[in-house]
Amino acid sequence: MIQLRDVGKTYRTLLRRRPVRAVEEFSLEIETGEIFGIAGPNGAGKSTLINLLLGFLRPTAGRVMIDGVAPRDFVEARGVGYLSELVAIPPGWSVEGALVRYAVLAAVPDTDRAGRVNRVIEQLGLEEHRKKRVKQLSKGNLQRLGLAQALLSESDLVILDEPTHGFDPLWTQRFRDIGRNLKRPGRTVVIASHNLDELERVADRVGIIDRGRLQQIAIIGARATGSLARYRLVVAAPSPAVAEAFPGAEAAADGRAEEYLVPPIDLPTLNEGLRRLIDAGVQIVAVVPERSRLETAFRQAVGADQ
Amino acid sequence: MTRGEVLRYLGWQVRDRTGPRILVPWLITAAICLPLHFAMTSDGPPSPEPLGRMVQGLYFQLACLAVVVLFHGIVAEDRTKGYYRFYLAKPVSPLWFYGQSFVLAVVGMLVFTAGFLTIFSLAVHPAWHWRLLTSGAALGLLIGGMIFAFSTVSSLDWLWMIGAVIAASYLRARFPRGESALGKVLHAVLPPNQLVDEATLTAGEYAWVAGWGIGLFALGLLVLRRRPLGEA
Repeated sequence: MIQLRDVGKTYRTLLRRRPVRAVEEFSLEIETGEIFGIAGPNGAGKSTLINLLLGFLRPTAGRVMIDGVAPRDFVEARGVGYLSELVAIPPGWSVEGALVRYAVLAAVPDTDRAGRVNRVIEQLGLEEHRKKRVKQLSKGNLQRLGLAQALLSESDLVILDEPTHGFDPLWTQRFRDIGRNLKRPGRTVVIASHNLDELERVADRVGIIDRGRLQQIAIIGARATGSLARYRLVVAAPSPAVAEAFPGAEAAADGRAEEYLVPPIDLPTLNEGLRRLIDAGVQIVAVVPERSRLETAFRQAVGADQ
Repeated sequence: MTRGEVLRYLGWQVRDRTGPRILVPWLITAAICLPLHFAMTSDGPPSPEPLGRMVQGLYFQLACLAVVVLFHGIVAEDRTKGYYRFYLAKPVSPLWFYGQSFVLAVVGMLVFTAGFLTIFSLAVHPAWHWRLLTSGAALGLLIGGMIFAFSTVSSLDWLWMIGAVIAASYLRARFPRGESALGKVLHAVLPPNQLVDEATLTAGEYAWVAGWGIGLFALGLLVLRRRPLGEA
């Protein structure tokens, strides 16, 4: 389990007159076996938070613990499957050579090393690049190599910082499968991403941070029945029953007459309204969240709607 | 556990840190020795005394280059380029990882010295001055130790080392040991860089240089322990 208690991180340099508070009064618990997403605008403190989890930075206030020990002690004892936002691998190394080196450092047993390297090369579609130098890789392929080295160690803690950065749409989709397959009992996965859709599909919970503070935790999936979302409702033909079932619903200005925008409601209210429409004989064509629940929560948390 | 994994990585560290880097001072040695070879062929071999001075003078200049080539960026390069992120996310202690790298670089100084003597002996005249090995080890430990300690906090480690050596040399010349109490204090606290160009160190002098080098290495390790690499 990961625990952050009143964690703060302030950067002080000789040249900067005013200290920069990257993380403030940050408290959070991430359970073992959970996939936890971290979302936030640029400069919100996501990368600082991840550096604190890896022990690459020390908090200036509060405490970070992983399984009851300080992050650096945890990493040195057990290792972490880690992908940084910017993949930095010496440019002269070959793809396969880099993975073999990282496998050695990750304490992958000799007997298993070649098999595991081959497996991640295949999983990340790097077969045709395995003999290439790192400097010859495109941004997307370099990102896949970074992800491959993170998956090599099969660690109980996986931390991915912007894992789909530089991916094309195909690999962005494939990452969702990879991300979902990371889930297993005893393994904790932390994913920081700008991509809310990606987090919504992979994570169990998402912490939304802004200006260094945890603003909200959004629970993804079936548990999220209490959160409010706006919906686009499409019916077979315009009907006054829509406004009765969903008070405040309006015809969508950018759509056809049979499209309505339903104001923010929770899931039970949505289902009750739909039941009333069906009882009234209205044919429902589609119900689509105008924004995902996570996006709605994100916009509320960072004040984007104000 | 972490020590074992880092030891298994030793071969790659030899390749990264020592292998290609040592070629540069060797190539320069060969480039300098080539005209000497032709001069020797036309003028005949020199007498042993000037030959000894020539070997020592040439060695010291090239060893100063070699120590910078072998040690610079020993920690700082990984930090500034971000390579440490993947190394140290593995079950790896930074103390073992970079400590091993330092030891390799010291061994690299001995290998450079042996290569220098071989190149000089083959190209110019046989000059197997084995005491140069102690000079190489002293340079590696003291100057390499300085670069290592500076490398844990700055990317300009070699420049800081040069500044420290110049400052120590200036203070030592300005306040000689025998002339004032301050001179005696400075002699005790300044790094003994004036000793590393000596081909013949006494056991006491060698212990003094080695002690300083090991102390600077330990200081670098302490900084690595206390100050995570992600800190600016």
